[in-house]
Amino acid sequence: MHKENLLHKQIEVIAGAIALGEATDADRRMYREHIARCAECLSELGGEHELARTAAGIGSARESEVWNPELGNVFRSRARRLSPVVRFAAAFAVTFACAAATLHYFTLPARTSPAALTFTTASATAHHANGPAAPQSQRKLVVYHNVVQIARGPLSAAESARTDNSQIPAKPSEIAAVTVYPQIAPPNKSRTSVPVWRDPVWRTVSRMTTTSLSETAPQRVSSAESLQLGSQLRSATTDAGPLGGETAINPQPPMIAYSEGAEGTTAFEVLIDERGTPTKCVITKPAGYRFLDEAVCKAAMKARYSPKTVDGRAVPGIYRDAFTFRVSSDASDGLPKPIH
Amino acid sequence: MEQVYLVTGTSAAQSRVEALVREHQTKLARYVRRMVGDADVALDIAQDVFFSAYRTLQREPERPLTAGWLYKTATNTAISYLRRKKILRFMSLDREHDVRSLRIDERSAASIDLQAAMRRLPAEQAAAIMLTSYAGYSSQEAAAILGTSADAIRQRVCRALRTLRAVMMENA
Repeated sequence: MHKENLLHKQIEVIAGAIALGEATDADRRMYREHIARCAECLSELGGEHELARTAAGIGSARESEVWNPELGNVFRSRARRLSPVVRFAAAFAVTFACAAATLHYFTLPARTSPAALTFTTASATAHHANGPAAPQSQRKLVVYHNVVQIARGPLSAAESARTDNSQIPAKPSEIAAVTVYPQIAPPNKSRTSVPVWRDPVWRTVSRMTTTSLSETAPQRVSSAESLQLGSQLRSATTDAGPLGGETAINPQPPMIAYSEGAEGTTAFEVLIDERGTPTKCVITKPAGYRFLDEAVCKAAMKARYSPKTVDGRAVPGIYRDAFTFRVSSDASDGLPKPIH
Repeated sequence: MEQVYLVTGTSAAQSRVEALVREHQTKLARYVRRMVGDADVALDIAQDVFFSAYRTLQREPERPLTAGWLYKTATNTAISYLRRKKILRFMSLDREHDVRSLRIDERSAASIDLQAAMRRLPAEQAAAIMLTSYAGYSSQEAAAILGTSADAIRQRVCRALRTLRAVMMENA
């Protein structure tokens, strides 16, 4: 085992040399022999050309740079600019002041002491004054899963009348318009953060908040009567649905979605065959950004489904669903943020 | 680089640093920006580097300052900045730099992906790959700048490429 580790270290050194174009022929031969045996290295690093190409990609980033910074007079402007160290100390101080103020504020909800209030405003203005040092807002892309709302849109009016019909829009055209959700969901419930890329940790490029709205959606079947009705319905016909609940479909918008601030609602249909395999994904309402639609369809085709059943027999069916992408700028909680 | 300086004293140091600034400011600031991922911080660090060059020249007027010295100082400052930032992030006080603060003008997806991938790298690996692939130093020169061996640089480059490649393939 120890020997193997040693070999791998040697291979890494050689691979680095190949990437930098410093390898000898003996190195290259050794690397070729190694990746012929070691599937892990082959898939993670690739062949010699792949190594050189990846390294060249970084070099080409330099070629396409257009940022021409002017430092100006280092000696004169230095007095005005704070050094990063000082700025960080300032950021620390401000944030701790804010935290302390908030804590103070919350621990004494009944009688708000004027001292705490002034402290809050003082730190708020300090934060404001710190503006140029701290970039404006923290942006993240929040994905609202509209599963209940739009998936059940085409249901007959008779069935929707059984549920709470005071809020539910009956016609599909109206439903398409109702995609506005409480922008900030109550942070203590129904909010789970799902890592977009799976382990290992260093691969996690971006995280995203998926808010499941099934608990707050108006169609939620809550009374005992309708629950019974629901189970009766299910015994006859069950619709196709994703296995693993509503987070089973987990769209992963590409990085560009964050920088573009892409927002929109994508409604889609997945054709499910009788074995529960998705066969086709159709966008019924595009979000306006193709990559969002593609992310949704990609996720939908990746998920596994339970097929539609009629009297216990599995038949091909359609699963309808929708996602709303929204750029949120609230930085209130400790949710993971996308990394740009 | 000219290494013979006839004039000595404070004003000489100042003019030498000004020459250094003129020659290296763009490349150095771009390099630091790639390391730290923030244009404003990169400018600050670059200024600090040139200012410490000035103080060094005031102390020892005979000392020849090369580009390697500048990159070494810049790398060390950037690494310590990244470490501090990591602590801040751990305490979830980190302000998210958005793409605007990065001022990546070439707004291609590949470039943004590269910057995103850079953020996943440990500071040492980022320095190794930036000094070699980006700034164009050989692994021996990078080793001298970072105070380690050429093999260690190569190994870090390899590990960094592993991560970069995985991230870029995920995004593709």
